[in-house]
Amino acid sequence: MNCKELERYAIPYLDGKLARKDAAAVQQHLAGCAACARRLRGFSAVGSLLDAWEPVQPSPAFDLGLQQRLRAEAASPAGWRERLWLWLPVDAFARPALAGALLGILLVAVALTRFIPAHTGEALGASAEQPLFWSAPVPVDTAPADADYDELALYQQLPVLENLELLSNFEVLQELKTTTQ
Amino acid sequence: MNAVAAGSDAELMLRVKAGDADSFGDLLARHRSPVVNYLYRMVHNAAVAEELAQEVFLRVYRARGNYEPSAKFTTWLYRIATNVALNHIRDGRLGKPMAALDDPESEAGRELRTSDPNAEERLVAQSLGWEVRQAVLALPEKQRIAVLLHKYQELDYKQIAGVLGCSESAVKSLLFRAYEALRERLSHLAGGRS
Repeated sequence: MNCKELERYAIPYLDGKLARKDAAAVQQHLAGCAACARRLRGFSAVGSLLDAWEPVQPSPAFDLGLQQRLRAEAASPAGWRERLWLWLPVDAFARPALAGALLGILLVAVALTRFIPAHTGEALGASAEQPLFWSAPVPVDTAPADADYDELALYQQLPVLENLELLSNFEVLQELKTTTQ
Repeated sequence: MNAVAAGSDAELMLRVKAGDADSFGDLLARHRSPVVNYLYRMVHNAAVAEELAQEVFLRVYRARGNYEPSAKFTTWLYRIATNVALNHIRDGRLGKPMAALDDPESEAGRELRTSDPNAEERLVAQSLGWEVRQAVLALPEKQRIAVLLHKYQELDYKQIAGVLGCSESAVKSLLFRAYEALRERLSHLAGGRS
């Protein structure tokens, strides 16, 4: 063993953690190397000096604060979910499968609520005057000619009226109209 | 805190995972003081150390559902504690040590003494403790952690390697270099003790 190799063996040697064969090799090196022997004696002295850094005792405030934080953690939503899992008679490995199944049921339920009411409305005989999600465009020739139409009919014809206004104000068409006249 | 509980740390943690809150109390009884002391030696402030130790145990409690006894519990615990301490230090929150319990200037430090030496002996002991702390504080981060875990927490090389994320061989080299630096820095004190 040389001085460089001693680097990996010195601390385990001082800790008494080396195999007998390795410990003997260290001792043989120390017997012939005054510098390494002095170094290891210094390490032992440092170990004793480090004892001068005395330990502290946790204060009562530490225990109290930790208990409060743990109670708050247990009462948090995550803690509630943990308790629910514990209450359910489901093995820990089956929990992801159960969670997936519940999620699937939820998705199906959401999908059904989006489509069923439209069909239900037809089934209940909803009239054309009470559209559910969309309103079919009303033919132009069915638009009322006088001011006796009701407000609902006006809203139903709004797309048509908007198109009419757009076309009537379209400059190109205006020019076309004047040239044909 | 509870009396000493039967079973290894891993067994207790598995019971906590299964919903046994009392087992967490048993784990706390075993590890609260060592973890507070480790953090105290990392951040040099008793009040901050206690606050960080609370955070450590809270993280352990939160992680109970995912706990697997693949590594030794203390390795996992001190890895968390080391991360919490380093985050605190790297965030620049390592200010002037306040109410350090073994500070020569600290009233609390004087009250902590179990014995009642005379004033001169007390002064010498406080001065020695201060110099040792400064010497350890001056070590590079990994060397400092390795020394604290080796000397005060009495973790074996494999556990220290697990905390630091390096090989056992690297830990032995780290410790060699750390003790060599401490030997040089404390040589004026070591002469009277060796």
